[in-house]
Amino acid sequence: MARGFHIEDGGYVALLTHPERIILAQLAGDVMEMLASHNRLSPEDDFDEDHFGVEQDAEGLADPAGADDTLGEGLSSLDNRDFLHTLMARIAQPAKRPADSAILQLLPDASDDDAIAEEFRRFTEDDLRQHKSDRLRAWTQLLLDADVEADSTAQLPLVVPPAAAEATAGAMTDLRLVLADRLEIADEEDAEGVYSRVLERGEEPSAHSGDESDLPLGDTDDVDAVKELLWAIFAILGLLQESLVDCMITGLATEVTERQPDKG
Amino acid sequence: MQDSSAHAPRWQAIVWNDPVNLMNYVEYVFRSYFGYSASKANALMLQVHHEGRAIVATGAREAIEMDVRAMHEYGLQATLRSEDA
Repeated sequence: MARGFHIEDGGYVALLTHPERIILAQLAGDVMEMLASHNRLSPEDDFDEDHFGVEQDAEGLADPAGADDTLGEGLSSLDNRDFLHTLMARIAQPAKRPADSAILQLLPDASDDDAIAEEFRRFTEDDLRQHKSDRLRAWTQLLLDADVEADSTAQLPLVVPPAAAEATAGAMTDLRLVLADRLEIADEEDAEGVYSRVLERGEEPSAHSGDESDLPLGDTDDVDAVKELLWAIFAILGLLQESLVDCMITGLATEVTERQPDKG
Repeated sequence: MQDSSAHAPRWQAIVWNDPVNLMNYVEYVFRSYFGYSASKANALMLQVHHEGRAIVATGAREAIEMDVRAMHEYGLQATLRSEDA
């Protein structure tokens, strides 16, 4: 089972097996796709479709990493007049609350007043989407940056430099928000229930002893098996995030201590 | 210092409880982003946890909008409202 972050040689280090990394990376990829799918500036919109038509090819849409770059590439390829036109369209186009409750967790309403919420969303949602997507991509790269020939039972160090810790914690939050929504974790009691259940299962003799991982990698056609896996991932991410944040809080105290000598 | 906008309504940034966000993370956000002391951040976090929400900042609308945006980036559920609302 994954080991939480601790401070080592100035970095924050956790231990994850290869299968755990792959599954966490897949989850991050799924959430990136979800975010990309909520891009309100989609090619179906009827303005300057030519520019977006060029970038939004099948490959661009299929690749979650590429889909989000599309807007940036589109904007940078436009001349000034078209840039302003696109910017105005972006600001003027009404923003709708996400219909998907998981996406709504990631891109929440800023007010219970619909007019205020819509205006806030219109001005901030695109940047928020991009920011979260970039963060998830960086997290994925961190997960996959490991010796792929390693024995799959091996616990491989995952090193987060302190400068990247806040972004990593943010990515973990987003993943847990989506999981909680899909698993219908509606309040803290539900969340506690998941952790207890996962810990209990971990203490039972595993039916898959000798398998590569402690993750309940059952038949993915079985809804209950998938749910078990998602619960386990939710618990692992909780462990990772909480331990990472403990390191970050220690880092805050260190910053203050180091600043002291500068005070006259 | 004279507040030239003394008659302009002040706005509030409110952070809401949710079942996912970890208590130590919420506390970290309050310390790191707002610069609150450990004890103030802890008190606000506990207020969110026990009462369902807490006012984490008060000020001009533009500043509060930025704060709410930042809270959303951190993954916290946050809203803004006028003090008069």
